[in-house]
Amino acid sequence: MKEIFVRLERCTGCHTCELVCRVEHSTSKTLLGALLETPRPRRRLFVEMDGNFKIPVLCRHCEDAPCLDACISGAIYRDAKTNAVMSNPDKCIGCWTCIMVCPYGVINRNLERRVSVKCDLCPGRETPACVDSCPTKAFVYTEPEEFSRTRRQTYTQKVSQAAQA
Amino acid sequence: MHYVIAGSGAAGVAAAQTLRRLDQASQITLISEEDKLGYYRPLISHLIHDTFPEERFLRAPDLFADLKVEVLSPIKAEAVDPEQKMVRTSRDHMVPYDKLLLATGSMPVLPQIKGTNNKDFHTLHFYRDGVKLAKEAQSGKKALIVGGGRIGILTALALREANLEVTVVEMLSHVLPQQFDTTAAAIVSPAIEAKGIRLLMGHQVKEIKHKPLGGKVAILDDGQELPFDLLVAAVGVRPNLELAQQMGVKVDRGVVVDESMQTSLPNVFAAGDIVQLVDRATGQEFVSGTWTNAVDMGNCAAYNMAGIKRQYAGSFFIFNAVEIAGLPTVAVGAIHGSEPEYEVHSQCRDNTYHKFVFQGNRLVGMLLVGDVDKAGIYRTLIREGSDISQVKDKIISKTLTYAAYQKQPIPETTYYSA
Repeated sequence: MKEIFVRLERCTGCHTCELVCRVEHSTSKTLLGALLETPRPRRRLFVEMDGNFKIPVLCRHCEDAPCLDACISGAIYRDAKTNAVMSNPDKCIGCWTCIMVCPYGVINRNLERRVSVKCDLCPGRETPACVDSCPTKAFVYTEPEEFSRTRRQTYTQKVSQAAQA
Repeated sequence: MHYVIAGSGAAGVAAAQTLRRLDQASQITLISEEDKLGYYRPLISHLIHDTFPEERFLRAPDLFADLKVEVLSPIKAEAVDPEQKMVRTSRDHMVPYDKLLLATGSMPVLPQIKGTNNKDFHTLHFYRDGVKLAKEAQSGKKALIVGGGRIGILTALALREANLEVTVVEMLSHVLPQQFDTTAAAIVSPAIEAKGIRLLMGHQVKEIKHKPLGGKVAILDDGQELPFDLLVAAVGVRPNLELAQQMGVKVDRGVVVDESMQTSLPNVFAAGDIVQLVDRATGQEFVSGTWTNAVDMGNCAAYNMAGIKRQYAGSFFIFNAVEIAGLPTVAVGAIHGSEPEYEVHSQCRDNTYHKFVFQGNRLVGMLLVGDVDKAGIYRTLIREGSDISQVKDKIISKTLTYAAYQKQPIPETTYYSA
């Protein structure tokens, strides 16, 4: 399963990913349309800041997902194909137990429908909208093995360059 | 390997699912007294007023067939011989086990009121209770609910939604006395009353009288008379410990277990509403009655039954998220802040209230009304007993985010996976 990785040093805290997340999860899928819609589309990732430190916080689609275990109505489930942890708005009763247990604080509330909303890795898209839109390419959407292999190669190249210099 | 599970509630079914995931080959047998299995118990108040299709209450239509779990129901596991590793059922089946899970759950407590017997009360604990109450809850009838806790209030709201006249009588001074303080109750109570529910807090029903011409009337401690048609008891639950006691596992307030959910007897595990836990926030022993705790315990027991070591992460007596009359609420841990060494910080503005309770450098309690966003971050700090001195001001203002945990100088190659 592909995962979203974040290159923290590239995040400038511009919140573009939050904006496109809202647009992607709107009915119209356009910025203007999303602004005028009810229920208002909610973001499913959060660019958090602490002083100068910026970090986009996303759902990890945990292997032992606390939200999935805690859900009292069967709304939260694991997608058999993508392995993503999903929330079905038609089954959610808005008790917010998932919000109480998510250690990352990445489950949001649809305030009009009173249901929880969370990252679904953008079904229907090859790459999640946040990944595609980041102006500094802070996100990488790939398999963990592939990601660490690329990182190893980059590191080895740097070391060998340094050794040659 | 033959796994036997006694009970089909949150803990029993979670254990069955996890066991099957971990072990495709072994035999799993589930024994349950209930006639309806694998439903979401916290949803049953929706039977009264909602038009949910039946599937919405069920985990999956063919759950047990899909899991290849053999089900004995409605049959009671009556006795266990731990020497022979054998369960005897109410229909005299003899079911041998290699590993046994006790997940016999709890039963509603019925209040002792003069002029009543147990048949007079409706409860809302089993699916069949919801069906029965829904059938009798016709528009225009008068319902009297004894107990203003979570179940009492959710039942009241459901009955009101079905157009009944509803009164709730609670002995203690405010609604949801376990998980709310007076401030939280003062925000939520008007919202409940705005739905047309009458709340009589700090009162007790002393006697029920049958009128000569039919009809019933409740007499309260102050002499006030309340005529009613439907009487609902919602004063709490007690664990079903009979089987555990009969077979001789160690029982205190609930079944005593170790960190792997194993009882005092080898190969016998316990999970759910019968287990005695230690509160991660207060250190006090308690018996839980919440779905989420039961599922966690069932999963943990299943891992250990399958031979994979897992430690139960622990939980809280007060551990509840619920939306009441449009107001989201979350309560975790030592929310009453009653010990002298507790330090309490709270802020209330209109219908939004947050309260955090500290003990030294630890966060031990959280109560939120109106805005429950990111509650899980605080719950994790409480459960882990983390030193919060670096982020205390952010907790007090409820502005803590995950960034505070991750904050560090960023070398060029720092990544985290999402």
